[in-house]
Amino acid sequence: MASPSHTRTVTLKSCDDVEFVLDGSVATLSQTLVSAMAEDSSSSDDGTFTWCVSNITGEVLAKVVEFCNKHADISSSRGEDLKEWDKAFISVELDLLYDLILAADNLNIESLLDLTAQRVADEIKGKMPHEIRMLFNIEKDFTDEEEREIRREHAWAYGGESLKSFL
Amino acid sequence: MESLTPDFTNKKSRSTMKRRRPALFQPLLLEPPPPPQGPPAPPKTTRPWSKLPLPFVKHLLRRLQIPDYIRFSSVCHAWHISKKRAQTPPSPQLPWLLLPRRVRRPSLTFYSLSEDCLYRIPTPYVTGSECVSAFRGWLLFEPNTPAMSAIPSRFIFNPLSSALHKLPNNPPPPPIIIATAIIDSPSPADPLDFLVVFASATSIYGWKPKSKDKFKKDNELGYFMLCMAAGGEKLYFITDELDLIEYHPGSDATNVLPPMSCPRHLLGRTTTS
Repeated sequence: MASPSHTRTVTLKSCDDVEFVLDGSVATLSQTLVSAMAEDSSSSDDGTFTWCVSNITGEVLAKVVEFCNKHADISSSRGEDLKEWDKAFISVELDLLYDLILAADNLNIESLLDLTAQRVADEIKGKMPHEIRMLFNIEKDFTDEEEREIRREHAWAYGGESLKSFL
Repeated sequence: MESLTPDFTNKKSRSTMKRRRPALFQPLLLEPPPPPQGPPAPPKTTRPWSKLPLPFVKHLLRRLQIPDYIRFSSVCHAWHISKKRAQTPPSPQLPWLLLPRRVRRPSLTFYSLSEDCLYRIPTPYVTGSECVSAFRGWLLFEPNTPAMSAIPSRFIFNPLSSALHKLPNNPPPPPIIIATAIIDSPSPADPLDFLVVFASATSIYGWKPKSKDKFKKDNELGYFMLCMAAGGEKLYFITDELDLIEYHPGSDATNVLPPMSCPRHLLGRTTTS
């Protein structure tokens, strides 16, 4: 019988073989790890559990572990301080942001999905599609015809005006 | 004390005033700082941003303002498809302000506070109707020219989905409407599950767009209703005796409330009749 997840120690191994040791209570932020630990019954005696994340590098995993440690710490995970900490934490370059999104998805960490989504929402706020494409280096793969068709239903959303135009 | 009051008749030049003014006041006179020398070019990202995991897209869509939510679809094919797959409706938003309508313009103009920006949304029948109430994205329209037969007598319209539902004429309309409102149903999971209410001085008329149920509730207590406001699942009336009445259509329960027990957020609304 496996010991309860919060009393165990979890070793996370990145795709480039960097290892991180997490407290069981920290690992519970990841639904992927919770499910994996629940299914695992092999390491019942020493109370450790090792999990390899195949597509996350050590650099990214270090950020994820930093995030989980902060958010699992009950004394600090309340109120404005944590908000400030999150804001500083997620002020990263877009490449790392994308890697964090994949990691949050892979490990199924709800709070990190939330935080990365907020950052991306802030990035695209008020931007027109061509500006979003430029920012994220996304190729426009619509024909003009297709784009017109998609825009047609809510054409107004592409034509915001300043309040001055009304006064 | 005199020195604290700004003297607007003073003929001193602005620059002199600036120098003499305590530092605390200066920001009010200052021009906004010049914009920085062009926005720094964002570093090109090398990641395939068109490919986003679906759980992430669901989180993201929940956090977008309506216009961003709409524009999300026209970035690229992959985003367009993932938005369809996500099936995540936009979250409740900071309400928009409906601005006064310009004559003959077939649209409504909304001001988005969060974006500081105007949107003109085409609206059917709008030149013969007046928007009299708003609730959870729906606008309730009343005709402002009774003679125009081409215009439905009453309808609700959702400017974002362009959905329009005509309201029945019979038994409503009441002879003289003092107020109209839209209120919540007990289980508002369905966006169409709400109740449209018209009130005359002595009766309440209700209509449910979802089930097309109608009801008429006569005032049994013998007061005249002066004005009405809606909050949650309840209606609040002020009577000619200046009593505050609470009515819950779901349970058909009427309460006379003690003074000042009206929910605070309704106070501003009930004053307009």
